[in-house]
Amino acid sequence: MTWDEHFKNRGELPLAERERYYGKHVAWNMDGTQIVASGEDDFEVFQALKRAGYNTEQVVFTYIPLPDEVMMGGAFGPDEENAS
Amino acid sequence: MRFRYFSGTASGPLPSRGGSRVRYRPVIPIRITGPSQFVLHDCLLDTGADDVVFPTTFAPIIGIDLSQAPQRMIGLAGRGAVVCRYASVKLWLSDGAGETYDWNATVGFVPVPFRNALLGHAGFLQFFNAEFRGQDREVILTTNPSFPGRRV
Repeated sequence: MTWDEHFKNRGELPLAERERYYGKHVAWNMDGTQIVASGEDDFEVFQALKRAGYNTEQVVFTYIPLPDEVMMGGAFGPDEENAS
Repeated sequence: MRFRYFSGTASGPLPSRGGSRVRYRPVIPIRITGPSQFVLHDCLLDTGADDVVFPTTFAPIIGIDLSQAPQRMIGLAGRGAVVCRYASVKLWLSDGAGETYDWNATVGFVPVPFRNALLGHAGFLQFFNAEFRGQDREVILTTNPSFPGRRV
């Protein structure tokens, strides 16, 4: 699977499900079809994966932005700051 | 290697996008390997960042002990000065379609809950020629002669 396919699959996650993870750090499966763990930071995600018995080398860690989050490189906008 | 920009949808029209609700970001997956394991992580290509930077919460995941790591203060946009601790890791980049590279790099870890790890100049952009193709919403990365790693 190419990363294009992986990211395309991520984009097809139903909105109702995606909304559950706004502002969370998550791990996607390698197909990009399912979020398999979430947490407040990467380490929480890692611990959740371990508890659930997932291979932590076979997922992609990322962050699900809030829909109106403005990113400025390493920074982020005041709306997101207030939400975190 | 070609990577399409990652897209996100806002709840309403974005003035800076001419009323569109969709934003595009040059986020690509990188594999980072430490003493205990490797992990794939989305990272933001950031031409404004001097270094490759991860949050410190990421260090124990790959088995890095930062307690004795060299450190310095760095400025992080929107956060002011923070302590950044540095460690050596192996980075791996693949387009998933047959082109894969790995190399050693010294990357920073900061105690700030920022969102995507940053792929800045030292350790990443210095080794690649990057063409940001805004209209096509993709970035083309090509290793340059200074690339210290190998094609896998």
